[in-house]
Amino acid sequence: LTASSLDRHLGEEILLRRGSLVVFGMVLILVIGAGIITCRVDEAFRDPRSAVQYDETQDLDLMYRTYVAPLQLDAFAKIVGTKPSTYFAAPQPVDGVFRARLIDGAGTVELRRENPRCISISSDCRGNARLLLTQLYFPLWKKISSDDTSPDAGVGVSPEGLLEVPIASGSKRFQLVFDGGAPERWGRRITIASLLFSLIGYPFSAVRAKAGRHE
Amino acid sequence: MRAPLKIDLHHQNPLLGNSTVQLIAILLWALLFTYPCVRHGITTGYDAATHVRYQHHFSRQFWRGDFYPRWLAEENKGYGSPIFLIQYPLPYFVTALLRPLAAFPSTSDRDARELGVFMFVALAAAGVAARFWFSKFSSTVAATVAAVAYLSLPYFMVGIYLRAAIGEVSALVFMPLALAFCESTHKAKCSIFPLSASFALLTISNPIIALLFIPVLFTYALLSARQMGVTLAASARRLSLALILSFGLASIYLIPVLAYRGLFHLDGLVQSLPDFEVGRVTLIITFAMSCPLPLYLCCRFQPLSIQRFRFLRQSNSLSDSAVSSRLLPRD
Repeated sequence: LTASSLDRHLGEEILLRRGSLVVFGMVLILVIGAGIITCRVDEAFRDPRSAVQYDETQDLDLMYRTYVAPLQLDAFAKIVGTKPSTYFAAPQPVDGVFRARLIDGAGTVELRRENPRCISISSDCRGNARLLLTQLYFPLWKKISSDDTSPDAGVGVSPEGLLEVPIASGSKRFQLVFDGGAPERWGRRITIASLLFSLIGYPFSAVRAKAGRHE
Repeated sequence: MRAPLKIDLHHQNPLLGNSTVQLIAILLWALLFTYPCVRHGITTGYDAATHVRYQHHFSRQFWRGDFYPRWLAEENKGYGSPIFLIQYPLPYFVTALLRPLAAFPSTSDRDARELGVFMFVALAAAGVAARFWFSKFSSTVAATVAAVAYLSLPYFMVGIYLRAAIGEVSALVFMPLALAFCESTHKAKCSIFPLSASFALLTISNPIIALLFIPVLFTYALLSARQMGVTLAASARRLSLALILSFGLASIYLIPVLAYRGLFHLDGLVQSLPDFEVGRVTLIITFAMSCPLPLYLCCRFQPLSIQRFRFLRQSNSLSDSAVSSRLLPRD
């Protein structure tokens, strides 16, 4: 609307009164100025606040309430130093070390984080055991094991909402993978196919349109 | 009565008619309005801390080879978060890519400062995109001044400084771009491709705004089609094709969102935090977007277009008689 109006006001051929242009400009400035002052945006210029600092001791996502299962919500909130009903989170030291411990049974476990979505685990347990990892449970975590006939079985959730994996006795090697499954794979494929179609189709159709105009 | 003023900016001052000068003016204006962000980083708006945290983990994983981090392994004090299964990714990708260019020291405010630079980039791009759209139906000087007014809108400033809404600021780049290419599809079918790319980028900037924008885009396409002598069916068909292709382009984000949305319980958020108002924010955005639309469409396609036609008829500058016959009032 502004562009159309200005086009008429600043047009080369149309004769307009000076007054209308001044009034138009004043209204524009008044709307912008009043809006900025009403919302106190001017304070950001007059008194620039320091930038938000990243603080790992209070690194808590407000949205955790949406992806932690309701039954484990209170217990998870407690281990991260907060309550679901408050925005406040108590600062807690974070050492960035990924941990796991056997909560049932005995044996040795070795962990290696291959990448953010893949954890390799080697275990040697005497009898059946359960492993608790310091990683949030989400239904897309899957256990992939070469010697397990049902690879998805066994990834469970602890009462605190963390990953819990039952381990059979003896020497075992398996991976825990955050697997987006078919939707993620198909999403990627369709995007690549659409991108290729666009990259080929656009120049082709542009050339055709140009040739059509020449004819 | 005062004498009428004839304004001829192009001939009086060729500098003003220079496109490069106009683009530099838009960039400087964007820099002026985002100076506190560029200087100090994204300021303490409502969602600023959340975006800084997301960006911290996103950039870290991105530059360690995780091209599209869906699982933020060290979010939530090291317990991880699947938030990027549903969170729009474009602003985070752009900000992550800015890291080597901005080259800020690795301190605790680096992510906030990079997001501050993103705000400038987004605002500047929004200005250039708006000028591109406005220049489709107005002179370049008018388009530039209107683009500067567009950048100065209080909604932008509130989005940047009060709400730290990086997704909405990013979306404001692609809405005028989509409208510009929507108009171009009436002249050249090949514009379906850039239109679909614009809408796909709008979708991965902020899917809620993209969803709300679809009726606006259809209304604009149909009204501009009528003005330019394209049948409504052809216009609707082209726009539908563009939207289908844009869905394909944005599938990497959209398909997992649609497939896994059931794993996220928004009602749990509202139950835990009664003052968290998802519905009201959506309503305000809808209202803010829809209010000027009828006024705009009336002015854009009815009175002003007739006025412009009369002006063009007087100056004999309308070369396309086929178009002129469609624009000519029946009298």
